[in-house]
Amino acid sequence: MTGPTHAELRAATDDLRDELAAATEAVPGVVRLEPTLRNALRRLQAGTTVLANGRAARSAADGIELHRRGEVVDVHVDVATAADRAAGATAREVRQALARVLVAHALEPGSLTVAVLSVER
Amino acid sequence: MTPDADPSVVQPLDAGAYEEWDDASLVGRAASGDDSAFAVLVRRYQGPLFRHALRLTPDRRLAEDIVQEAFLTAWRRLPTLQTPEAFRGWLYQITTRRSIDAFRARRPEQPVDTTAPELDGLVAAEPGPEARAEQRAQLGDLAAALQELPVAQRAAWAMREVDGLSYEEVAVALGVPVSTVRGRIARARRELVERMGSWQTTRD
Amino acid sequence: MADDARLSCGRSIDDVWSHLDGPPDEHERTCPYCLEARARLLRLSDAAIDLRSTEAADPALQPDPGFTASVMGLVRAEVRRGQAIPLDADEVPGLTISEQAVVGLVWAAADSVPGIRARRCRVRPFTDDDGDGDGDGGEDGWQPPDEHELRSGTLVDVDLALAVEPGTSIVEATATLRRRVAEQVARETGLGVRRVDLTVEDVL
Repeated sequence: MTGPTHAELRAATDDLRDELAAATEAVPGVVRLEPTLRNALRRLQAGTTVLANGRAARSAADGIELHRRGEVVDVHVDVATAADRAAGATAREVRQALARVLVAHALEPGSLTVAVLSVER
Repeated sequence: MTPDADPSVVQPLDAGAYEEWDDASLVGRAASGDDSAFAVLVRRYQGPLFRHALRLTPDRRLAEDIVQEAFLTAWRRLPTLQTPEAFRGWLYQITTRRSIDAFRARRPEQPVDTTAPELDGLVAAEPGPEARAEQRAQLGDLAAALQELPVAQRAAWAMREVDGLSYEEVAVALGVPVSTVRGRIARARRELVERMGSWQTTRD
Repeated sequence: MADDARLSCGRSIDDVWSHLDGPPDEHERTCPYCLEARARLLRLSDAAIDLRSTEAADPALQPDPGFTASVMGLVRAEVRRGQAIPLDADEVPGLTISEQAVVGLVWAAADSVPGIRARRCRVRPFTDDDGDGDGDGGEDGWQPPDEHELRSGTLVDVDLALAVEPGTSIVEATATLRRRVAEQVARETGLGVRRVDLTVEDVL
């Protein structure tokens, strides 16, 4: 059996990104992921992916950047936080949530960074 | 705005209060990234700047593009502005420069205006009597006479007498010394007064 | 009209202009040329004031209705984040907050203080390389961050320019301002405010 196709790998990465996005947004104090020019550009470059069975792969969640280095995964997240919870505490919890998702996929958390871009009241 | 209301959630400034703020405070705010403050400045100056651009290049769409670009440039370079008081002169400077460039791009072959070396080639073509009469009917005496002035004088006089800029601000806007501005406005005044000989006014 | 044009009596229009505000002088009172020049210059002044208000009210001389929104759309696309400020000094680095976000909080706190218009703002992380946990301040009743925050939280220094509205007690207002800024930043970010440097730029 041949290994996963490029497209399948891309789709799997998109699934992972979606899960990381969901975990981030579930953290109390996170208002939303913030799309930035940087992570939007990367999305455009990636383009849409069509799998062998004809399905289109889901597009990457805005606000999340993933880099895989073998089994190690680096994640960067841009978020907006709510004013009623200290941004530092929220960011810390987001990082923990990212690590949990990666571990659940038998991946090793690499560099996990969280940037709070705005605080909303 | 009650200062000691629920202290656990501080509310942002009531949007209406911003509209009353002085230019310098809004500029200071916008220089540090407050786009709401900048929006107030846009609303405050878009009309006068648009009319100023229109005086120099009579194309509406072009004038709008010029003013839009001027605001965008101002937003980008605002952090480099040394004093907030210089903002208005600087806005007019960006607008005037682009209006002149646009005008120059459309009319490359013009006689030289020796009174304004930095505005070479921008003497307004003298309209014939019919065109003048039509202009007067449409614009009113002063507006029509203004359009007959060379661009350099028109710009200087209008910024001072219609838009209320100081001599220093006009100098910044035109990129010339204040003494040049005084001379240019005096010349424009003499021209306008001479043309008033045939004006009807409601006072007569 | 030549630059040095004179009225037939020998005076220039500029002479007449220069004392238009007061009554005619001895010569002008009986000189038909000067009187005519005065009359025209006064009409010109009135016409300029008229022109300003007429144009400002003329619907044909405004930018299109969508103009402000169009400009602001472009402005907001040019987002400025400032530097990334570390949120947690102790732990593995990687949790940051944008300077712009903290500046927004400072402004929100300042806007709640009556009589104050907060202007330019910078927020910088303070790195205590000496390790002595120096918490500057304590003036005007402001509480420095508590010991725990000093040791493990990131401290920031706030630099704020402001204008003061007439009738405001600067001492009281700035004391309130410092306290609210420190409280709001601590509560909403977890950062400790080490010092708030205020520059009163303008008393309005």
